[in-house]
Amino acid sequence: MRESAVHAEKCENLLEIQDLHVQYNTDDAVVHALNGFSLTVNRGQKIGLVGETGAGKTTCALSILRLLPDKVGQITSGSITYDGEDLLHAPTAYMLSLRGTKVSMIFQDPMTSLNPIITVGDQILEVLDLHYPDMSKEEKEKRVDEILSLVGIPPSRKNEFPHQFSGGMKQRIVIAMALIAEPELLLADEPTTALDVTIQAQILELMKELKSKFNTAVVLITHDLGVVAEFCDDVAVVYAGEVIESGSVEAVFAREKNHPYTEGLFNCLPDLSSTAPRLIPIPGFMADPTNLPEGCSFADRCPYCRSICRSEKPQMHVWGGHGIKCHLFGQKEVE
Amino acid sequence: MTYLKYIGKRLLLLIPVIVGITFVLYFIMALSPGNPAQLILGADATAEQIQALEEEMGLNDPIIVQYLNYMLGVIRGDFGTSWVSGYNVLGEFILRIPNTLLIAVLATVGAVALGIPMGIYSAVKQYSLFDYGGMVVAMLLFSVPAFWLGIMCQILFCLILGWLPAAGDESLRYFILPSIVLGANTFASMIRMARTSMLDVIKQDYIRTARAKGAPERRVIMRHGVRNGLIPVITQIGISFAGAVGGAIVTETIFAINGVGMLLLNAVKSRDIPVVMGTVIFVAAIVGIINLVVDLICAKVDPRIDLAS
Amino acid sequence: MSKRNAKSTAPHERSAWGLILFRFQKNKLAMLGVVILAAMALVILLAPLYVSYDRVSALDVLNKFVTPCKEFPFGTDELGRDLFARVIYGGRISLFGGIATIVIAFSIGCIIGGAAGYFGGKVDTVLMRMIDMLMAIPSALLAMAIITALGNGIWKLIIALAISEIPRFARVVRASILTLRNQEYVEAAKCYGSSSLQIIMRHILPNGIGPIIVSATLMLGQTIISISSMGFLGLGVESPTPEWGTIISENKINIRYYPHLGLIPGACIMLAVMAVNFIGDGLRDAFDPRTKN
Repeated sequence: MRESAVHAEKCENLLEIQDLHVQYNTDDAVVHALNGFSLTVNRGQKIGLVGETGAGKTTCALSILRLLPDKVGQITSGSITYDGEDLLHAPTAYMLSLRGTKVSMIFQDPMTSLNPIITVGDQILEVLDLHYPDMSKEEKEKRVDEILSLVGIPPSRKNEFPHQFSGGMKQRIVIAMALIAEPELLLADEPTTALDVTIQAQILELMKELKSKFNTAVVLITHDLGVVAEFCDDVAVVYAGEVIESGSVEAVFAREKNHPYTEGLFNCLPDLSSTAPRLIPIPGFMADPTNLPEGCSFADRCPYCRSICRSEKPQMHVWGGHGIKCHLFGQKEVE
Repeated sequence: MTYLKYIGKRLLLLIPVIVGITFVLYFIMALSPGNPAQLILGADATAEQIQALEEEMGLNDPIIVQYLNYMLGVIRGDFGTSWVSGYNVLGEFILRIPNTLLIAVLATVGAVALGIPMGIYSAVKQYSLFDYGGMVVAMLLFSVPAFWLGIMCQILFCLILGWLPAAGDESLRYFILPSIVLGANTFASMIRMARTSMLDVIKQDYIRTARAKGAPERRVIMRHGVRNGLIPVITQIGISFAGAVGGAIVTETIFAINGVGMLLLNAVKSRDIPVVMGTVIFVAAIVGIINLVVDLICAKVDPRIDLAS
Repeated sequence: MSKRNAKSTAPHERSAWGLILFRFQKNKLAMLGVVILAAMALVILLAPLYVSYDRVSALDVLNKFVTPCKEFPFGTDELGRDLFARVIYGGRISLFGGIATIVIAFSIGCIIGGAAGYFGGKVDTVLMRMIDMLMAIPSALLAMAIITALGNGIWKLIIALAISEIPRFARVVRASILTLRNQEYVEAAKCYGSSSLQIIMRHILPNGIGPIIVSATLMLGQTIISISSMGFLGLGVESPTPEWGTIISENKINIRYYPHLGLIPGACIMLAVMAVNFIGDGLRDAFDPRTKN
């Protein structure tokens, strides 16, 4: 655990998100989706972003690419730095050259993320059209064929339309599209959630293979701790729009020190070796993003909640590469 | 090949529909009061003359026999003769259909060519001044009766300004104003449909995918948005064209264009049943063919539509 | 994601109907439509209180082509008839005739479409074949064919227009029932042990009747136009019975010199149709907030 943290520090920072605040301005209310979200991704790192639906994981990925819904989604403060470039103030042309080549994204639902009336081959090829205008037509076609066989789709099927493929195959096509320009960073937003369990395993295996081939850094967004343990080096737990715990998979999954929320997540997992009679659910619901509490946003559901938790936002307490945002640990350290 | 087979199949399917329509119409017409023989011969015909004509026309046969006789004629291309003028119904129709099709096609093409780009632009620039303006124009044109718009345009552009001829069908110039008036409603519905459809498409995941690929906004809209957004609009074009053929009745009346609409209106007023029946049947057949063309275009644009099934 | 959450946890608990009403009331254009339509309906219904029906056809050759003034708020036509009385009483046919048409078409369309959707199978096939057949004829032409058979008269016109609109209603109703029958929330409600009546009132009606009411409202606008168009063409209502379309038709030649003869009845039609369309759009957004932009 120590080792991986040290190893991570040696690498150059690829992506750095600092204290990011994002809100959605809807007709009815202002939804605070991200509230001081910070995350660092190194080159080649595989980091898992874990949290419940609505915790702000997708918002984080969309913010990096500046693809938040127009007029509704708004970044109010914080910074996103990619390879030394300030993304929040970068010109549109820079963002266009970034999307699809250096940073690409895989969306949650493969059923709807492909254009229904364009052949899958053309949709993959479009990435090359956009970013390699000088490449010859034959070269582009060859690259498409290569990437398709790499993700396990017969290149002969590239002239077919999305509706002619199964869900798992569509996700392979989406992955092919995301990887054809060999990006440095891949944002995978729940790439397996919409798929059958057996297909999920295949897709994860495929991503692992591709990852080792291209040495792409991956931010894997998921709500499945099992997937994280399987795939990632590091993990960041997201709750109500902030990272409340982060560290190497070994450190977090050792379950020696955890944020009460992470602990709750672990307790929700069935453990075949344990003799515990039943799973322990986390009581209550996630804090209302339109009306966040003053102190720790997990306070309402926390079994260890004390008065300080209601009044003051906790700081991140760090041991080596393992950080936890909780008053519980601040106290302990003082003692 | 699939296309030819599909076209053949659809045209064959049109036959039972047409037969059904004739059946329904014939029996509706049979309810009609009044004596056709009297109508043809005029008020001063004697009882004997009327009886003789009734015999000749087969009006004393059971209605089903009359219907079968009518259908036998239809198969041979004989839709009977007008009770009023005595002319052949098919001939009268063929003489007038070019005028009607001309205004209907001009109206629809114009409305589509202007309305769809406006609707798309409104959707892309949602909440802009252009968007609000477009919606107001669409709402106004959607609520204005064509006959009123027609009269007002006629007064303004023909009588006061003298830019265009007010009535007649001698040259293409005569068709400009009628087409605009007839197309106003289609124009409004094109703006609304294209806008709604485009707003819906812009929210789709695949648009986000296209943006995530690094496609510039223009390309996202033109390549990924517009083609998808057009699919429901194309279907609407077919419906609008049928509406335009129906609406031609009013337009032709106002601008004195000798078309099918005028033929039908005069036939309805004088209860000239063979002409009414013939006209409605022909128009239904034309609308059926237009719908077939629309479906073919849809299948061309949307690969998910399988013509074989 | 988080957006949707916020919506569903809105603080005020409302019933499905309450929510629809709430959303409708928030729509300013729709409320404007309600106000305009209600005002027009009141003015037309209460007409006998302030204008005698006699004035509709009372000729007054000395006062022809009077422009709007104190005595004749809407002016007079070439026969010196009071346009105000004619427009107000004409509204009975133009506006309430439209409503009557929709009510008839709506009821019969519900029965046919409902039967097709509910029974399915052969009943559905037969009914839908007939509906498809009628839909092959542009509705204006179908209405005219029926008028040919029935002859002139207000009620005959209403029946002809209603019949020509039935196919559309039947289609919408059938489609609604078919999609709803297999919805998961209906299944879920059944599993909770809700009674059929509860299911229909709480789940099927609010979700299924939406598109039907919306299309009825939007069709009402087109029907008001159809009635006055028929009047203009001289079908259905005959002069001197006033109707907004016939009034324009009567004064066709004189509108150029006396614009009020065309502008006032035209404005009445447009105002009524626009109000109805505003309400229709508002209802659509209220029933299905997803379509709201």
